[in-house]
Amino acid sequence: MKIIRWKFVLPRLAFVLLVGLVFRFGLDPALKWAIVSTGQSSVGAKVELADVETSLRDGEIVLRQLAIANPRSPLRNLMQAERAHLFLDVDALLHKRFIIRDGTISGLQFDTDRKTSGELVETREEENAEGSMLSPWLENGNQFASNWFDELAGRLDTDLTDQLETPRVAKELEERWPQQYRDMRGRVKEIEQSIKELEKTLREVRKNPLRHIEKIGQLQQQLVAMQSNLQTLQKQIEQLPRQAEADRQAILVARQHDEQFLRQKLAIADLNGEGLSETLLGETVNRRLASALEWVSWARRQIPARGMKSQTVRTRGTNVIFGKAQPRYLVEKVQLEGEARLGGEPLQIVGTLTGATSEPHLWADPMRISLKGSGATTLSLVATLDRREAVAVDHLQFSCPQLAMPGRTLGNSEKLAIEIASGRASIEIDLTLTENQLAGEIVFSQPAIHMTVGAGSTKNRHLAAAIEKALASVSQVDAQVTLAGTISKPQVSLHSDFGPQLAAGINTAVRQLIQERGESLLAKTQAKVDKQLQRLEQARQEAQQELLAKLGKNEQLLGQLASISGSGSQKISISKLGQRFGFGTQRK
Amino acid sequence: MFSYFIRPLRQVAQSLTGNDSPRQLAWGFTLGMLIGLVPKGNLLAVGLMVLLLALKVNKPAGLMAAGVFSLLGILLDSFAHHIGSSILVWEAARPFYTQIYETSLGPWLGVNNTVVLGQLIIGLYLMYPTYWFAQRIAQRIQPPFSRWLMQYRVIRWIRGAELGAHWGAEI
Repeated sequence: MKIIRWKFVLPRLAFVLLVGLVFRFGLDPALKWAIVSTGQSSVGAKVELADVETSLRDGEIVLRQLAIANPRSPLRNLMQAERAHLFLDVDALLHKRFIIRDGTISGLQFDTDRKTSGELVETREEENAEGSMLSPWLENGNQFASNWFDELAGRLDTDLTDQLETPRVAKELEERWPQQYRDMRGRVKEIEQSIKELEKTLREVRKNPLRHIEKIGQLQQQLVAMQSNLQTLQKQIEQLPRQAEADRQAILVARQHDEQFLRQKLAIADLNGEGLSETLLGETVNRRLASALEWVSWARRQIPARGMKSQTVRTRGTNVIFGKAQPRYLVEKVQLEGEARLGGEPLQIVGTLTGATSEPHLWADPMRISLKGSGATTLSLVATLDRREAVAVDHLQFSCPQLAMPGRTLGNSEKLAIEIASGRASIEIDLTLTENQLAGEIVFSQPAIHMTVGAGSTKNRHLAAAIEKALASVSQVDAQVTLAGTISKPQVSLHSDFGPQLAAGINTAVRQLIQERGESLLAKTQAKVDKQLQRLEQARQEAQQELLAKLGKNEQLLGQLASISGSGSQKISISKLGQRFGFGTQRK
Repeated sequence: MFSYFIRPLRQVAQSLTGNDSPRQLAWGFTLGMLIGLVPKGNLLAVGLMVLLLALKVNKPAGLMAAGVFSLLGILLDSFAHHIGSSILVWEAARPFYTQIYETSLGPWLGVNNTVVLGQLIIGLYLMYPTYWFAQRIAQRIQPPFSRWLMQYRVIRWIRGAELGAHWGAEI
């Protein structure tokens, strides 16, 4: 009798061997498939893994070339790691629990390029027509300062010369005076002609007085009328200097009116410093904060909450857990080593990930990611994600004392933009999310700042020069952003001495600019008016001399006629007329 | 090699033409019933399956019973859950359960599941009646059914192949 029935034993041995081989060589691909498919379903983007090596005896898993695509940017990786060496708790594995006691993830890199798209299914991202969740705050912040600059630029750009009273009055005089002189010349000419005609008639009468005796009385009457006209004209010419004086007074009144008008037109309320801070820093804060909050929201959705049942295969009946309940999936501690870029500078990062679990309420400590960066600058990041209680509490602390700040443009490049040269800044973020309630602050400080007015942001060169002058007086930007509200509707308040400091400088510069502009406009107008008046005065004097000379001649003629006509008692004294006109004085 | 492929057919013919004893058939059926009732995906079900395959019982009868009772077992889930629950919440036995649960592979056994334990209890309870009925039925229907089947040439050929295999002949 055979002790071993080989015919019975061998097939069973072969079967056991086959099962062993399948387990040995099939476990790694199966694990790889499980990691990739689970990762993809939770991240929503491609997860790539080059190789998995498992040693169940030692409880070790080595993952190589792990890359997780960014679900929001298909051609970038959310993170990638060269190697993950994880130590499993084999005893826990026999108890249906996957516990990573320790491990190291090395060659960790964030936000790297991908050659192929990481999209699982081609999806068209819905355009957010409503803008970012911080848009209303930003718009409010922008409104005041933008309006202020628009208004100021508008006022400075408007040509107010046409609306001034002084040039209008001067122009009126320029038109009125020559016309008046023309009229007077015409009347002098008429008198001259009348005198000539009278002289001619008188000569004819003298040749034959008896024949024209009836005309003598008529001629005397004409002579008296002419003398009266001459006197009237003399009086009018006499009035000319007085009228000129009155017109000068009118111009003075117009100038006073203009001064008041310019004060009203150029007056503008002081620029609000807080509004300016929001205008200049708001857009940058909005863009970064909105992006950060969206990432926080996304990350929170990936983390299992307390009471959330992990996706398991639906089983019949209920599993009763005996002994102390423990999480099914747990990462107790993993060392992280890798590289990151911050502000465009490479950093070596080291840190730890602890307490990541599928059932946070069953683990004593919350999940914590702690990273420290060194290199061109240093950084410290501690993120605590606590899901142990019914209310989820997340806390994020970030600190970078020497963050490289690339040159950037603050504000709206079409309205008012300020270009800040590259430099270094310190940034501190302390953020707490209790369920959906947001609370925290971001403190930013950039010393030794150099700012210039953005090209094309304001077309008014005087305003640009004024802002430039104000910018030169600001040497540091300190800002504090306080966050409240909910993660979907955050309430942001920005406090910074940057705006008030800059606004004070701009207000002073703008006041000075406005004063200079008003004075310059008035001076320009006055110079023009003075020139006009001088010209008019000269024309008046010339006209007066001319008229008086002509009137003198006419008076002589009229005197001769009067002597001819024998009406000596009605002689007109030319010297008296000259004195009345003040002609002698004027000629000097 | 060919014998491995026609082995299931041979075993079906064997079970029906009375090559196995009614006892072997009844044991196979009973074990199959137990396997069928217990939900799968745990070491208990795997152990019972190994037992069926390892013991010298009628395997086709066992597999057939496993298939039939898998369907019937679902109808008994609610009842099994009640039984399993009342046993698992029994405070006096808690240390014992905890000890089993905390042994290596303890959670893989499946006995901490209310339906698994309930169905196991139902199966164990039904074992003897099932065996008794299966044996009686086998004794009664196996000879006439065997005669009827042997009229067919293909059955005779398969039986011949089985006998040949039994005697060491390779087909």
